[in-house]
Amino acid sequence: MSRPHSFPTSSAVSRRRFIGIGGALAAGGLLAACGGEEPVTGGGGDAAPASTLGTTSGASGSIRILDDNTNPVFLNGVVEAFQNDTGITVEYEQANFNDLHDRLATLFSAQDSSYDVVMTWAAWSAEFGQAGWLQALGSDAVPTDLLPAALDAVSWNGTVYGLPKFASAQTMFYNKELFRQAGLDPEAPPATWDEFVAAAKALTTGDRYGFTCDMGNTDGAYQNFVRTLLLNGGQMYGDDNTVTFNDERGVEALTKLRDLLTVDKVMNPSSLQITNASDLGTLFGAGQTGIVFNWPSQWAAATKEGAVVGRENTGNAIIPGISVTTASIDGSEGFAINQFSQNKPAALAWLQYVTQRPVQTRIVEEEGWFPVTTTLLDDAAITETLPVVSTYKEQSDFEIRRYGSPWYSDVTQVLSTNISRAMLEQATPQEALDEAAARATDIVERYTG
Amino acid sequence: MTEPQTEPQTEPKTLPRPTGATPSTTRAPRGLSWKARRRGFTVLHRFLLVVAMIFFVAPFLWMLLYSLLPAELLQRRDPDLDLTRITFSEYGDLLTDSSFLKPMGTSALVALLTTLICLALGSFAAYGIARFRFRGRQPLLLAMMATQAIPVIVLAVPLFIIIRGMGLFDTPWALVIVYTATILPLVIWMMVGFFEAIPASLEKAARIDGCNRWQMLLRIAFPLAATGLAATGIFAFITAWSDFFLAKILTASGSTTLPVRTASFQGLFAMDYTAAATAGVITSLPVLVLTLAAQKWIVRGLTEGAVKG
Amino acid sequence: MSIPTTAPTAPEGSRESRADRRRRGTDSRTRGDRRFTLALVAPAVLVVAALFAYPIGYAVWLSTHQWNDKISPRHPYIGVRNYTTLFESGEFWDAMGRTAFFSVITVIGGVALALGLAILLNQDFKGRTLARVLLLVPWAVPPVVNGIMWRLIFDGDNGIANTILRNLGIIDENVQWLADPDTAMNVLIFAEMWKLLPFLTLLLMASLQNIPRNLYRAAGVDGANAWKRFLHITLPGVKGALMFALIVQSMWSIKVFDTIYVLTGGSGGPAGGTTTINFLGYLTTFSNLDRGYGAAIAVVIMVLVILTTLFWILLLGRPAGGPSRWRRKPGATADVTPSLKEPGRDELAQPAGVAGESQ
Repeated sequence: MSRPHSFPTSSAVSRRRFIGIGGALAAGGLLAACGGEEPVTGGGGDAAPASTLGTTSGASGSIRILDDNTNPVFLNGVVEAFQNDTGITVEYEQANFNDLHDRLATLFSAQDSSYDVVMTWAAWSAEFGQAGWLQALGSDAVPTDLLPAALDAVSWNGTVYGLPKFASAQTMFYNKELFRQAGLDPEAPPATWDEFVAAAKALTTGDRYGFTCDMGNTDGAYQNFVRTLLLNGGQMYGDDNTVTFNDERGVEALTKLRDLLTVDKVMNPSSLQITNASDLGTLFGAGQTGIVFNWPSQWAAATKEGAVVGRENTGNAIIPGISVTTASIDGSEGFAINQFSQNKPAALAWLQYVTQRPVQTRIVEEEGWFPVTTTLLDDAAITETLPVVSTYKEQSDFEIRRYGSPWYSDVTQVLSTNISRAMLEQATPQEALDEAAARATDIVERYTG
Repeated sequence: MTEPQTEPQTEPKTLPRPTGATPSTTRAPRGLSWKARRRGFTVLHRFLLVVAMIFFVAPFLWMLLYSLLPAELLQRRDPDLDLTRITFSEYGDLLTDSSFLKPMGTSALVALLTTLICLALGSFAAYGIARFRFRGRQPLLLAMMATQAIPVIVLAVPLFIIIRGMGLFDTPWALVIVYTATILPLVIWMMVGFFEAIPASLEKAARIDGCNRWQMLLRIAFPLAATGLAATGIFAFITAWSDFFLAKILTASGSTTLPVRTASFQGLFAMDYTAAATAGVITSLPVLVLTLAAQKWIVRGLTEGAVKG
Repeated sequence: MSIPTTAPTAPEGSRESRADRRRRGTDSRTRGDRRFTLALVAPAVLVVAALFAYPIGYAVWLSTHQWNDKISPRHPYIGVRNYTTLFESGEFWDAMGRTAFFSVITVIGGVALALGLAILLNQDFKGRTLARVLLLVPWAVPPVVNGIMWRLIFDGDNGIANTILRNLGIIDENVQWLADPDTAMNVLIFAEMWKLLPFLTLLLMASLQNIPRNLYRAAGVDGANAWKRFLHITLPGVKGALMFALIVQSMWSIKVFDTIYVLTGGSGGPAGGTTTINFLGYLTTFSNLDRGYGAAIAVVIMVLVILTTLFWILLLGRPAGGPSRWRRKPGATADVTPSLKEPGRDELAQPAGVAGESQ
């Protein structure tokens, strides 16, 4: 197995997980989930080599897919192409991302087999995987050149529960025109946190704030904190899932995040009520803020027709670090196979089909997400159509995490509530994080104890 | 539904509508002329009325405006209400988009069927409860009320299992069944009042004239409760049409309803405010038109039945 | 009956009809009536029972089990441990506090405001029909749309609420309404009030129209001032409707969900500031997949709603929806008379008592 060397650096994936995956692979290649049945690849020759189209040997019949509504390409040709290439009939459905979790939880609780393939991401892979609701994949079903962060988004605790459909991480976007107006060099974006704060100060004027983020809901508050934590070299959890986000790195990170709002006064106060990346993107695209840390779709939002900023004024770079060079938060999405599915071979064929070049190229070119394999990420043609990809390449040499886990939603709620308290100065960062850590420790213990 | 037998409209002018604050019957206090005081009341009354009406209508108008004006005029610190730039393009887009039209059809079908079934089952049951003192009558009414105490989150998974067991997942029927179960108790609750308002002597007379029980029910009681039926029906329709959570859980793309579709404009990576506002207006419109068209029935229906003092 | 309707009833006739009804009670013991009643009532009861009995039983059963799908595939019986954990949890009491705050304001405030509005709309004025039509607008707006609408209005950057308040000089800087737990709760209450007031107002207005006008005339002649008339004629006259309004609104307020979901992006935030008890139950069941614990919360909500309903019934007597439904002593018309101590009591009491009996 060549998987381990495909991780660029050990820092990109936590040691715990790195060892977990490597160890499990070494142990026999088949990764049985807790509560999982036999892995897909166990029976029949349905797992075709990842490099070719037409993984149809043994896979036939029909499948039903439940996806979120992030990727129009599936409806615009990919599903049709898959049917033509494989002979598998597909019923493809999209649902709003925000509604999907509840619907999946209901389906799974009832052990429903209506859908063979469901959309997943870091949080759900762990949550639903641990619950035994997602089919674990054998190692030969998984392409060997997957980006670690993308693989991370479909794995938990050494078990791979799905395959990614696109990779995504936040990078820094800045408005070059506003940089010029503020006397900053548009070609020299801030590279350290202090430079970032200085730039944001220069960009803050009477009717505009230099920096805006989206902390308005649970995931938003969580990911803004985790990103800052990683930028300061901190970790959410230590060995054995001990909670470490309230150590001095964590407290310093939260202090710096809060200071943007309360001391430096460079953070748009509406950051605390913006609940999605799109609103952030709109704000940036309208020239109402100078710097955002946002998902790759920001590029399309800022450069689309009618946007104030435009392509030539949209700067993109890695996120400036506090005590490390840079770090980011992962937002990759993928597909997983319903444990109760009646047609797993065909479901696997879909999962693999999506990771391959033709589909990936369309997702990158038409929608602005990152490809899921290192091979495609290194492809010059792709970088050309989407300049953000080169930033992502740079960014992906460093830590990109989301800390998906079965207790993700529990801890995220607790943590984001306390982060909000700190941001609103109802508690000091230390108090807020200590409170969150105490609660989080209880939660993790319930899961692991 | 039976044609309500309304007589020529007598309201509002001819209706007596005195209240505790009726100025006309106020006696002149010392030092202030009766006229001046009455005038003061009128001014205050009109002022409060206007404030209240603005409060009720302005938010909806703002959403309407949002659906008609380009987002860049409104997405700013001080919105630019350039009415010359009003466009119906978003309406055009949504009303030609099959992924929006289909939920519209589903919602209409589901709400209509639910209303009809609730009225049919509910009015029979309510009549029985209103007219006959049987053992368990009061516990039954209490149980009906108690169903409303149950949070819908607890119903979701068991209902899903029932619906799937019936093979109805992701069909409009799933929602019709579930809504009927949740709305029926309130319908019965309201209808009992309407039937109790009908004097029993009428039925007695009818019975003497040779009507059997069913004829009496269909020819006397139902027509007399027609406005009540209409009011209750609209209540049921609105409730079924507006539901969000159960529709979200119990349907997939095959039978998504309009509120679920409308909420989906607020996504993880996309919040299209113009589309959301437009969808919001479209979702509200049928109910609004229906309610407005039937507002006389609603008020009279409520008057005659459920809320007798 | 003071308004012309198709039902030819008259106040004088109503006493007879009550007596009729009681007599009919005896009639219903005939076999034919019993069968007829059964045929009428059974289908509806069966439908409701079939779809409620199982979920309720399931919820109660679930609440006595440790059932977290993410933690263990085993679901042992744990008795009341979910409940004891719940009652020891700060989160639960926080949510209860928020629910109490939200419910007290929306129920008491909502019904009081609705009564005021109903009186306002019940006067003679030009455009009364129009006003009543406009009043129906919020009722017709589905909760999901309601949430979207108020998000547009209370947006921190581009919301019209900020623009208006700034131009009025009430605020200098934009307020981030949905970023602070307290203001977010207030926005939520505001949004809910907008939605719930029309229905309550309609209910109460309908009831107001049933109060015979001559009561007020008599009171006017006797020199009762506006407040006294309100206290002794209006309030008793709408008591049944008030009761119904209080009960129904209490249920809806305790179970508020859709507006929170849309308004806060499904989070119950900021900082948990809009996480009421029902929303906590939702988060527990669907986000944390802790279904045993979530069921315990749901059962607590059920009990809470039932207790609240009983509270109103015990406090105010019988609800509307039919005379004598919950009357403890048959014939005791606790509607108007007891509280009247003013001059003119005799004139007032007599017709009011009749009004209470009439439709």
